[in-house]
Amino acid sequence: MSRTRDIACGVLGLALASAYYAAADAIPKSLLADEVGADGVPKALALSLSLLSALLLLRAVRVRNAADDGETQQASALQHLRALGLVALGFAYIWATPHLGYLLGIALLISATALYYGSRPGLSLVLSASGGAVFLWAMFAKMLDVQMPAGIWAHLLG
Amino acid sequence: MTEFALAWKAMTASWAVPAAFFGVFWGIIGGALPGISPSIAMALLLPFTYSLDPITAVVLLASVYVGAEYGGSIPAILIRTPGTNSAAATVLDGFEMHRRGRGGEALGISLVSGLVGGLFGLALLALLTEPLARVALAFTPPAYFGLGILGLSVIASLTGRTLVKGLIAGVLGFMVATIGTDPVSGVSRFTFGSPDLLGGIRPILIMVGLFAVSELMAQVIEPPWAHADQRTARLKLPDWATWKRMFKPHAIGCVIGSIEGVTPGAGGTIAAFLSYNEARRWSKHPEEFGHGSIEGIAAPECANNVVTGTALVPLLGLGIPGSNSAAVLLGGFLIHGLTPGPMLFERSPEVVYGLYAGLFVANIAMLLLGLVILTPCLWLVNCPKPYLMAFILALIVYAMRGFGLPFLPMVLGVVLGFLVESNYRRSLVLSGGDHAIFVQDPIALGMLVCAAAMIAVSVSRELRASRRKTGEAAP
Amino acid sequence: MTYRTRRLIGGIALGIAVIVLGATPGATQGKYPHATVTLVTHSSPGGGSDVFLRTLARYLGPRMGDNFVVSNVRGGSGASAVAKVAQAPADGSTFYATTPTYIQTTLLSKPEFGYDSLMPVVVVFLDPEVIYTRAQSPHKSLAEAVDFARRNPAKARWGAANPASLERIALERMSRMTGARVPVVSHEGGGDLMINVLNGTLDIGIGEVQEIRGQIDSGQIRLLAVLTDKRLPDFPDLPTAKEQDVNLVVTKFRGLAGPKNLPPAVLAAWEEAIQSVLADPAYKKEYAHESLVPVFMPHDQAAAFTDGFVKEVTTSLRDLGVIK
Repeated sequence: MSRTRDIACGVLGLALASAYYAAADAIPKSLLADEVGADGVPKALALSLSLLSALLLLRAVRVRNAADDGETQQASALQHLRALGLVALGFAYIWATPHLGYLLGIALLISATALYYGSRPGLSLVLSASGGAVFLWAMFAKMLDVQMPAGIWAHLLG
Repeated sequence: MTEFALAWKAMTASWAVPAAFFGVFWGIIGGALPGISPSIAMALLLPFTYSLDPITAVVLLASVYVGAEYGGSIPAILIRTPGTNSAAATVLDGFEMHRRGRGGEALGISLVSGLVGGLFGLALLALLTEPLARVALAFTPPAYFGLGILGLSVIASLTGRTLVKGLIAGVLGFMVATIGTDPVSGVSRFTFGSPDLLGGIRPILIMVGLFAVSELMAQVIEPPWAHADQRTARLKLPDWATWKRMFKPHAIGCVIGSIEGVTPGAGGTIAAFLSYNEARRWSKHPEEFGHGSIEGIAAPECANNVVTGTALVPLLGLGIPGSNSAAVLLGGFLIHGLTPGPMLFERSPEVVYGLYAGLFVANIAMLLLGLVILTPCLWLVNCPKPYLMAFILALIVYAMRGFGLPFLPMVLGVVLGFLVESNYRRSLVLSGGDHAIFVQDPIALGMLVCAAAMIAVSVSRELRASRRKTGEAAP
Repeated sequence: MTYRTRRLIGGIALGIAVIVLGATPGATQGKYPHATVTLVTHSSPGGGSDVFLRTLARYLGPRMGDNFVVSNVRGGSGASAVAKVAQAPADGSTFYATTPTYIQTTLLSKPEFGYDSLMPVVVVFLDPEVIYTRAQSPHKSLAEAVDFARRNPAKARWGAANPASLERIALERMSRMTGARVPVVSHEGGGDLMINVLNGTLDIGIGEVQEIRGQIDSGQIRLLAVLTDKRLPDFPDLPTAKEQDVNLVVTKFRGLAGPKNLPPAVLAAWEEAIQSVLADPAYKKEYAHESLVPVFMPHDQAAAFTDGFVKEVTTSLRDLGVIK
């Protein structure tokens, strides 16, 4: 288990290192730059990452039946998908909030997350979602004066 | 004695005492909210200080700082998300303790450690401003580079058996730190045309992504453990046996915190990580670290609160704000027509001694308010823009978790990457490209030697372990 | 969805409605069309532009009968703040505190919203830049420091606060102009720079008077030259760079800009208010302490001034090979 994981990690690390190197190489040159240059340290980082990834790969290939590092048991593909669903919720929230406004957006996020975690739909859910949303909104938008999207409401009512 | 008389008069003649209480209260809230840094919490109050008298104004702002440095540990312990950068080290053992149903105890330890650190830092500020200001001046770019490397070398000992993965995570973090404006030429790097990225990615966003979101995702897989025991959030102050165990980590935190605090730009984060690491090295129970160690909370929480006092040393001793928070405090002084610096002691001693007294009250207020606030405490926050980044990162982080890459090296990479790179390049500009500058500067040399020793020990341990492993596998 | 939940959501929506309506600025009470005016700066709280705005707001408030809110929009070297103001309604409710930074950033980073997506309203102050060294330094004048650099090309080090700032460009120009070819070290802000001047790592630093006031007052640093056309009234003994054969003048301005197409009435209101506030003796005392030079320029002049400034910076950036 740990071996396949290390191999995948090494391969991805190498890929990331080369992409990052290419991006570093594309940084425009400036006459204000020093000898190291804006791309100097990033390139060194890319090289270190590829070396480390290669080392990891090599070790994983050489050590055949290495004991698992004692890390947590592996989750099944279905469980991974469930966890990713939470990220999907997050993206949906970020996409919808500029339209719905922070207050409604956050209330929906709270209820959706709670539902996702398996709480039952009902009055208590609605109450905690609206209460939480009003609390967060009062805290950020009103007390701390953080700019929050007002959503379509401002157009409809203003 | 005139100093005490001045301080007493300043306290009684102004609103400084209630201001200290309110400031600490506000600071704890701001510090506990990931995304609201101590300096933002202070800045939000800055406009209200116009109408106050100068002493009340600066005491209010400085108290916010005291509260915020402490407040960052609350979510670190309760929801595995540091509220401030410098509370990241507290996550390690604080959250583990909470997971084991000892959250109240963890909160108590961080509260009293913060108090010890805060009072120690204040004592240093009040008694040794002048000599400490000279320490701040002794730090040249090569010395900062050495300091950053020393901080990064903690990665080696933090990760233990998985050194290569720790280093990979550290490099990844450093890569994140290179996003934004180049420190020497000012060209933009890895911003892909987005102006939001020009200023770089704030470390706290990475931490929210790394810790909070990944924890939420992990809980989808494993049933949340909090159901098992819901009575964990009762605050429990340390008993005498605990105090005795905390003595050594407190001493370590005080020493490291005072050095890091006075060096502008270094701040509480390096202090917290280095003292965590040292506390483990000197501990009688190093095996407890990472599994809910008392010392593992006491050392970093003490260190980052020492910084609340010593970070003001460059401001009062030299007139230079050493951190973002000190810069806001500088603004508070300026708005009242006061210019911080050595002259302030002569021109407005009542403000200086009033500030000292106010900081003392603030530390006491921190203890009292902590006792009141902590029990009903579980702050969870949300705000769309920062969380966008957090959610994007969550994907990467989820992958990292899958690959068994540790998080803390990445945090160190993100926090220290810029410090290391900019001072490395600045030093080379100074030396005309000659790397000898790093061994000619005594402070830089000392730091680099310490870092090399730390890495050497970890690498040899790793090699020994892997040899043993292959030895077992071969026959 | 049950009837009850629907009613709750309805209630929340109503609540939002009430709050939104309540927050709508009340109709014109004073002479200015808005009760609340947001002043945006890219500077962090306590920074140069922030203090400028907050102090200005304190004196403007009673005059214009408005409530001023200073909003610190950091990030993107000023690009985020400019973008915010450029997209705000052009009704006089939102303004941006201009400094050369927003022009530098536009030229160097080419963000979506640059200086040209804003409309200069007024220019209020010039912020004199000075060159300084530590009190223990052997250099008594800029001429001496430059001479030292020319004779010891491997030893001299100069420093500026930020990588691509006006100050950095000025020192790079000075380095080329005098033939000294000194490396210019950039920092992360004035504090960082000051440390390296005080501990002798750098021979000279460059900065605004108000930024280094504390160190001037306590005698930690020595001023070598001021980079203006004329000597400063509060430092009559400090010669200009020109007097020391270094033909370098740095114009750092502070003013206000707004979204494009501001109504003429709004512009007129600001021109009048700024003029009267500059004449206020109490305010005068405050800005004199920071060595700010009042140079009131109404909209027309401010626009022409900004254009000229852009041309100048473009030329020097091109000469240095930073932009094409």
